[in-house]
Amino acid sequence: MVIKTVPLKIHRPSARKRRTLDDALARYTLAFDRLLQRLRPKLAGFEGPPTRFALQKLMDKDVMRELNRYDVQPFKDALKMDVASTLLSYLARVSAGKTASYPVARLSDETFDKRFGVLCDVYLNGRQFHREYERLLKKYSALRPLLFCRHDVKRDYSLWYNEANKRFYAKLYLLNSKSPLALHGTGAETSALRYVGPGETRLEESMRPRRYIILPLSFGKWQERHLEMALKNPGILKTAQLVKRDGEYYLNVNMVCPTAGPIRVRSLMGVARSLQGCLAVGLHEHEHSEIYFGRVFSSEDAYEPQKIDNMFLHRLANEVVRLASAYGSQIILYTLGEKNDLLAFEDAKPLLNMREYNLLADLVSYKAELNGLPRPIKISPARVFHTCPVCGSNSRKNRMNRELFLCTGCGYIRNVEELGARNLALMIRTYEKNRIVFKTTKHEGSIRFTNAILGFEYESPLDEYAFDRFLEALRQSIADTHGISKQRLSIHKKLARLNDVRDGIRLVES
Amino acid sequence: MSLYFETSCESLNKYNEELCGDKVEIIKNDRETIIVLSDGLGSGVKANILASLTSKIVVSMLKEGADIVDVVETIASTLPICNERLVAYSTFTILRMFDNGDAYIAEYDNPDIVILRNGKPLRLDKTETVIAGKTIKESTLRLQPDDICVVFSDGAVHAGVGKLLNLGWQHANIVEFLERSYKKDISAYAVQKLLLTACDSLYMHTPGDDTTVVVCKLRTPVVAHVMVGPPVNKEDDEAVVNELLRAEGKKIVCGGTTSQIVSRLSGRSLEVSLNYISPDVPPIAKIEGIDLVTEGIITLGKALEHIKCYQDGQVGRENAFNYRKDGASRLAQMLIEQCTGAEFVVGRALNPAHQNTGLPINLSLKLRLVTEIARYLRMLQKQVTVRYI
Repeated sequence: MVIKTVPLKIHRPSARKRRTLDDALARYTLAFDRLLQRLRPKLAGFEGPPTRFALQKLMDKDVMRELNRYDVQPFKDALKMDVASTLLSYLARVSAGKTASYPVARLSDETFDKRFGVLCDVYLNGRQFHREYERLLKKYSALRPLLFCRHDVKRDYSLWYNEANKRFYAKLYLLNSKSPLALHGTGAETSALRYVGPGETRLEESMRPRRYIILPLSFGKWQERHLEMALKNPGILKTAQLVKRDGEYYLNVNMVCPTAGPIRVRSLMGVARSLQGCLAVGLHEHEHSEIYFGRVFSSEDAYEPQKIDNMFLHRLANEVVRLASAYGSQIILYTLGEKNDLLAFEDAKPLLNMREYNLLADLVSYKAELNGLPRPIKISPARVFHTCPVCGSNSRKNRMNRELFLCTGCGYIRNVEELGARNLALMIRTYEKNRIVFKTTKHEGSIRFTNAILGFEYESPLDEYAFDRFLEALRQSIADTHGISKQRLSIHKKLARLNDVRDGIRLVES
Repeated sequence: MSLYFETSCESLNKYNEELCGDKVEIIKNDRETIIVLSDGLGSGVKANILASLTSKIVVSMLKEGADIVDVVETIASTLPICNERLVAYSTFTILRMFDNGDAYIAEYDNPDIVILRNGKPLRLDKTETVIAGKTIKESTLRLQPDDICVVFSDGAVHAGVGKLLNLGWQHANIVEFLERSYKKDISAYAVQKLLLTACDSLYMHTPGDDTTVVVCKLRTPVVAHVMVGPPVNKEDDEAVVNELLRAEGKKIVCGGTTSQIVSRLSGRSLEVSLNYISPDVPPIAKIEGIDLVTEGIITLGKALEHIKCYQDGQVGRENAFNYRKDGASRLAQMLIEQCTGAEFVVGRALNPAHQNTGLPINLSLKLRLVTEIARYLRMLQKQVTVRYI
């Protein structure tokens, strides 16, 4: 499922509505921060990374009731979702051993005072001080984007359409019934609005205090296309976020995009960085069959990008997806960051830097799905440009010069970019072939089999049946897939696919 | 202590030529090993004749005690003169090594010899002598165990010209590549194959010139003592086991009963290793002080396959046992790569499970396998003895 975010600008809200919007954003931010602080001590209770469900369970009635002082009754579901997502990404970073400070929506007064004091001590230069102060102030006055967790006629948010003037409106539930900002009646301007949803629902006249506000939206042609799609199929409207940026208000609506019919995968396509072009693309049917190798936007095409901006990356991504669609390929990319592809050689650097390549990989991912291709696979870039496809030697010594790979293990030679694209395309096959290593430790008549990734430990008396018993324990272990991490699950699946589990494992004496 | 010279050579013919214009002659005797690489003028039949004549003359004369002056003068006056260029021409490199490590090198117009010591190239002091109008570069040195001598024809230096590399693979590039590829236990064959494959790849499998690589690695002799099967007479068990334990070099025991005998008589425990799983080969075991303990018939049969595969070269040598750690692969690897010779002590006690009653005893599976392994190892220039007990 591909989700696109369609930003819709709120058209010239009146002073009163601006006040309502600002007030809602501020209340949401305060409640968000409060909820984070409230949950912080409870997180220590988890042994491993918790699930979203477990985190949401922590936000029970008592905890949520405390938030009533911020008048955030309309946002409680959204707050739960938002806080759980934020904590999940924070905990994922922590469990991966990365540095991460506990999330906050905005700086508290104490933190601001402390940091301001540091700023005064450190920055003597006026311009630098000013810049840093601006940044600090921005963090202090930051407003958390307000999440609406569903498109619904009677809560959260909904889109409305006026057929007479072909304009769209947003109905946002921002107030509770006791709010002094609440109005009565629907207002004359909105009486012609039709709900963008099933049925012919129109706004009803009511004398009760109104918990929502109606806001006209302004949009361009691209947004209009998506809104028309929503008119035909309202089910594509998912969550939305209210954001304030540079004094303007936007409603970013997340919509499910229709995808083309699935394309049958016939080949594998590696998309790597390149020194001579923007990307090196290699298409392979299997290990010994190269279908295509080429560079996307290389100097040979007489195309020199003046500036690598988002538009250019979209063009690159479109080209990659076009090729993949033409050849029916499973796209394989890598993620740069923790590990580098080490393609740069002396003063020669890849045309795309790490950030640009990662961004491109994200664009390719959703564009591929939109075109009916399977979701691209992202792998580690660690061995891509230095691994010999013949003997498996993986060493930096294998790079002869800027262009050539010369294996010091077997003498195999190939253009380094061709090799990189090829390795990337076929790395998935290598993963399938690799055996899972189990360490064995013998101790006083017993033998222990362990695998840290699987969290597998089995001890048996050291006799002729030790190995059979271990295999049986392993078979039982891989049958249990409940609540295990993605990495473990993939190994479980890999072993489970084998006719004989012995073909997928290797024992190493520790 | 006398050294063992492990040699390996191979050539690439110029594209579309049936004969190679380079020729290698290797002569070994108790005292010395002489390697001659000659490269005949041009290519094809003519070059092949020039190179063959040159290498044969050099080897024969040096073996008989002639000095380099006589050798070069003989070559100059004997080689047939080319109709096109009106010269008699064949370049050569002579590497003469004595079993104490002393070496003499003479080079005429061939790319400089590369000698790697601990992975670094040795700088040779060369003297130039003009003999019969030819400038011969001579050098002498004392080689050490694990030194690797690499001799190659100019086809190696020209590899890749105008194809993958503009100026070809310069001598310095080859030296750098050899340095990078060096590993402590690398065999002469591996170095030779590596360099030749690189040249072939640079030529994009259509060599523009005959290319030959000869590699000689100096090794301290290591003999593998292989005990296969229990002796016919049980009384001999102890003596045979003691002999094995006292022996220098690699100690290998093949056979389940045999390993139990060794374990019992040596008082050392026998532990079956579960480290490697191969459905075709039974697991290995461990006895302290023994380098390798394997099962008998099946392992020997598989090891023979690997040794045959290695000896055949060309197609399957590099895949003969690489990357595999089962008993048979390890046995083959140990015999070929880690040992310069082998002494098989073959017990003739019968194992009913392995006998074909219709066959005489000397054709029993075990004995036949050992004989075959010995034969193939001899083809690989190993000194092998087989003793039956």
